[in-house]
Amino acid sequence: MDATTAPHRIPVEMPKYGEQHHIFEMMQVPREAPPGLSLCLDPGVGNVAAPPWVAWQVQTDWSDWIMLQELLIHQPKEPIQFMLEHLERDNDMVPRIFILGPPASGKTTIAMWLCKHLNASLITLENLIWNKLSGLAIKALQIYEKEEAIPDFLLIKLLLERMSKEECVSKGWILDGIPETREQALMIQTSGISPRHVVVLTAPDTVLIERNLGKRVDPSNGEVYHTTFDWPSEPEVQNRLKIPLGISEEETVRRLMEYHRNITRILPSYPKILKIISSDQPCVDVFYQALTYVQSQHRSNAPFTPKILLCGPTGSGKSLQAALLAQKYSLINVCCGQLLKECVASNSNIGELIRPYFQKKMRVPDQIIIKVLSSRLKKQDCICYGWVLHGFPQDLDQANLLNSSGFMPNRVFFLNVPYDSVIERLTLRRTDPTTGERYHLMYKPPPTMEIQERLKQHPGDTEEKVKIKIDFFYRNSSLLEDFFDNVIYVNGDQDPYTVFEYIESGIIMPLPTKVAQ
Amino acid sequence: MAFEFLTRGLELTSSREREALLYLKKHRILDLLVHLTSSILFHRPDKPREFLQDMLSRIKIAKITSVDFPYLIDDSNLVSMFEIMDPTNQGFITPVQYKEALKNLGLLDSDEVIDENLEVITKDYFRKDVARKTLKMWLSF
Repeated sequence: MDATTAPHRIPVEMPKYGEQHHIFEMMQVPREAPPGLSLCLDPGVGNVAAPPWVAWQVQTDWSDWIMLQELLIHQPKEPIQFMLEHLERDNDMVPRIFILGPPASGKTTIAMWLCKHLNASLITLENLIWNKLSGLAIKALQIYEKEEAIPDFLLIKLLLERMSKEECVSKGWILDGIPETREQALMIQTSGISPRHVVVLTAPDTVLIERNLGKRVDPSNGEVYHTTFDWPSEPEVQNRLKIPLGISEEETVRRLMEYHRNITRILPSYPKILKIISSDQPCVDVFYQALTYVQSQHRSNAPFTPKILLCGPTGSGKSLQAALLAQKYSLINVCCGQLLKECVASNSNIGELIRPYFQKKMRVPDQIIIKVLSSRLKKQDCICYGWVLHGFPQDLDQANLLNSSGFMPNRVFFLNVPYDSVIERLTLRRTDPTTGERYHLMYKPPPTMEIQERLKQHPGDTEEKVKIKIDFFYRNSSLLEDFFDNVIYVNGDQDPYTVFEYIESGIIMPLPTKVAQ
Repeated sequence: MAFEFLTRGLELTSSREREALLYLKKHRILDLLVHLTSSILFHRPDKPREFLQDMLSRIKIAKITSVDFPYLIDDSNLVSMFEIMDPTNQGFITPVQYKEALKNLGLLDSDEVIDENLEVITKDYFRKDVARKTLKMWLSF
């Protein structure tokens, strides 16, 4: 090859395939790459330059590997054999969670609920020691019964032993209350155990001291209840409950002080995977927040061309959001209605086909729309930079057509706006015929009375017409919602920049993983 | 080649990290991963995990028998490459072109110097040399 860096054409199947099978996450490939040996697919800039045979380079972000991480931790003598075994296990996505927090914050409750929900195994200090089958555990138990602290190295050995068991490897694990000190955290790290999510519960000390006084434990399965906040409904369980040791005020205060001393030195060990949740709210809320967090994937540097679909009734702000997105991320704004009008105006062959439908005010048939849309979306700039589509599909048939043409979006947003807001937004729109300036009687009123006198309303903005369009949308919306996976619902009834931020976060964060039930 | 590029910006802060880098370099893990990813994207199998496992087993066996590595670029591709670089069919390419070609294939180590005195690189020399370098790299995986 000559020493040129002219962009080459990459078949569109490649990035699509890569995204679909999460190749980039699996191999951890970066956006940037050296010239001459790389594929640059920066979502922001979209410069596609590559050699004819695509060679991807692996990135150097040390905190974000999967297979490579394992290789580096274990450094096996036979890397190929190791990689084969790793692929065989196929456990990249199992939960690996630490739950930390002060006493009485609800760690055990949350840990148990998460375990049941995610089908992972729970590891606590108690169930590590009470393991009759392990020699290490028996030694630890002896030390524990003498009321002494278990030495760190023994704890780590117990952990490693437990985590190498089949159920932890294949189903994942949730660690409750370990590590307690910085030394433990460091030892855990060096032994190769690294969580993917760390949840830290917090609450004010006074709340915790109060709460701890009401703690009750069910001795048969170790579940924790509370006299006020979480009282079991079955009377047999109620009768079984015992008051655990060490919940008096002085004891709680002492443990809290120790916790505060230690936690500030543990948290910096998990910079990007930490989430702090306030446990001074009902348990269900805490659980819901924790669950959403552990199901979310962290942002990876995988190349990603956004193919966004915005759906919503007329007046929900789709065009505005699309314009904002296109401007910020250099995406191509594809408005279906606009596209058709452009075709007619340009007097092309397709335009001639569409013109009679416009003149008779009838809906353009789906086949023609999809033809125009495909030719736009196939263009080089759409493939490079990504696109934002709005105004299509409007019903299930159109959605199926879109799918069969090969243009499935990878993010779908539904903007929810209540009926009254839509009416308010649309029926108060006015245009000034002299200057062409558009106003809104509530959000952007005309500055002078003179202008206000001459304002006119678009005939399509009357309440009856708007109502017809909204009804049309809602008739088809539930089918559309079912058609796409992973739809993100956005509250469109807010100011545009808030909605924009919400949509942005939906695009940037990877889609949540589905939990295997 | 991948290794030099990727590790150039790193500041080594601990001996563990240095050990890890040495490990990567010794087994040429990064080059291997680059090849695996290229193969996946080129073939686009329906089951990428199984494809990867398949490729890795083939490499494992090929290491022992020293033949039949799962190359992505084979001899006919090399001939086409040469012909693209030499459109007027003179029969040779310049060392600069040759160096760029090796860079693109990922076969050029930064410390390897191409003999600038060779005025021409013929098709046969090109094929033989690339084949030799490729074999050398695969054997070290």
